[in-house]
Amino acid sequence: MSTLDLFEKIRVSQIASSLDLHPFEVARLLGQVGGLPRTLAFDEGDIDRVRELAGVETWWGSNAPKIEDDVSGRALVRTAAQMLLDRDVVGEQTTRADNLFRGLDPADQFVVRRAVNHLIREEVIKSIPTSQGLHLQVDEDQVGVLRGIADGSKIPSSLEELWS
Amino acid sequence: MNPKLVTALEDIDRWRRESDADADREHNEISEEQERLHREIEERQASLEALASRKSEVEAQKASLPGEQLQRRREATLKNLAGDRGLVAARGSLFGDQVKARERRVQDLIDKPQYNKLVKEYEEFQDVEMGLDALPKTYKQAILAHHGTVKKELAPVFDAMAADIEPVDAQGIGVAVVGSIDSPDGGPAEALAIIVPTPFETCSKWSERAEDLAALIAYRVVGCVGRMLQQVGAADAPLQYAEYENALAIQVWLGDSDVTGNIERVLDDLIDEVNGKAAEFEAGRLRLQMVWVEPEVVAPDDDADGGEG
Repeated sequence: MSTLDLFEKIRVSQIASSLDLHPFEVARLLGQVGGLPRTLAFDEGDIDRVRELAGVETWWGSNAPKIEDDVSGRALVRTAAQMLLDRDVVGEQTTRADNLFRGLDPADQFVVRRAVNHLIREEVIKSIPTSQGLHLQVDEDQVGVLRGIADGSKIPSSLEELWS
Repeated sequence: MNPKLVTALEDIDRWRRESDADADREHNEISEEQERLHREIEERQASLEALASRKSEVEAQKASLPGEQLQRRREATLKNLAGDRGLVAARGSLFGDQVKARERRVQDLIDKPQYNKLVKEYEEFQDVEMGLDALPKTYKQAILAHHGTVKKELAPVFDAMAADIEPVDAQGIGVAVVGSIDSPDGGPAEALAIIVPTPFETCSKWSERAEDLAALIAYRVVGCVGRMLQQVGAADAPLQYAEYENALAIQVWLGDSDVTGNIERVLDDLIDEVNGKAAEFEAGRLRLQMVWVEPEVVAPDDDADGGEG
């Protein structure tokens, strides 16, 4: 960072980087709420505004549920399932798909992504396109399946194949 | 003296000869007329056949006009897209020079003695800031208060850095943003494609490249598309970004949306609004204009790569 950078306002790409978004997502969201400003230079507060507009949340922080499991991949997926239940992403409630991955290292992201894609194919989780990007939703009648995954009591064998 | 019969028979013979001669003459005349008419008919027939042949050619030519027009429109679109990309790149270079000129002005300012020391303090604070929580509360408050004062005294520097970019010393240019709506069988819009004369790398390699004029143009167009979708009741329509002839293509799937407005008119208006508002367009002396074409004009060739971003 140069000295001059200290005095510059925040750019679209910097907002995107700080929220783990693509700049075009930022541009689309700002466009939807009245259009981009005259000058594409922003303040710290705008990052929070875009975070809210985008529905960006970091689930894999210190508050993530601690699920013990001998198999690390299974632990990740069980935790992800538990977080969907904890946040009540059921029925009309949806969440950004990448909220489920944000904060994980790339290898762990890969495991959770594969599991989520599998659960979408199995219709346990639904994917819904929105202006914020892809959202996830769990049907009321699939909550039991998700609960079985989260507590480890009934993990579909097809899902087990992903980390075996 | 001949008997009267002889004279009568001779008269009959003469009549016969004369009649034969008359008949032969008229027969010849009729034959000649018939031949003339036959020749004329043949000539006319030949003319008819030539006309029929030409008519078929003209009909075929007319039938090929839509395809030819499409081909010409496609060629013109691709040629101008490449040209406009070049214009944007060249104008981006001039714009970049103006950005650097602003930075030089700020640098000149911070090199002045009255700001130099403050800038150093401000820089140092960036390193100190992370460790503030470990300090006693009173220390922390004192440091923050001093930082606030430094920041306030550096206001002219912040203002200089936030100042508008000076307009480039060049003529104004207009570049086309190509739009196309696919409405199968004249029904509701199913897909929308917007081609922006900026490199696809503004999307695919955004984190590796500078946020230049091309990137700002791309943001503006994406922002307009987002706002347009909101206004026509298709706010959640999924977007994809793809490379199209070395340019950025924004693809919108509208098949699952209930579009309630006029996409073309709304987007035209929003682009016009941006032309009159965007600071970087003013500084770059640049305007965008939506140009709408048929989907076939921008549809990729069958053997072209249709990869998505």
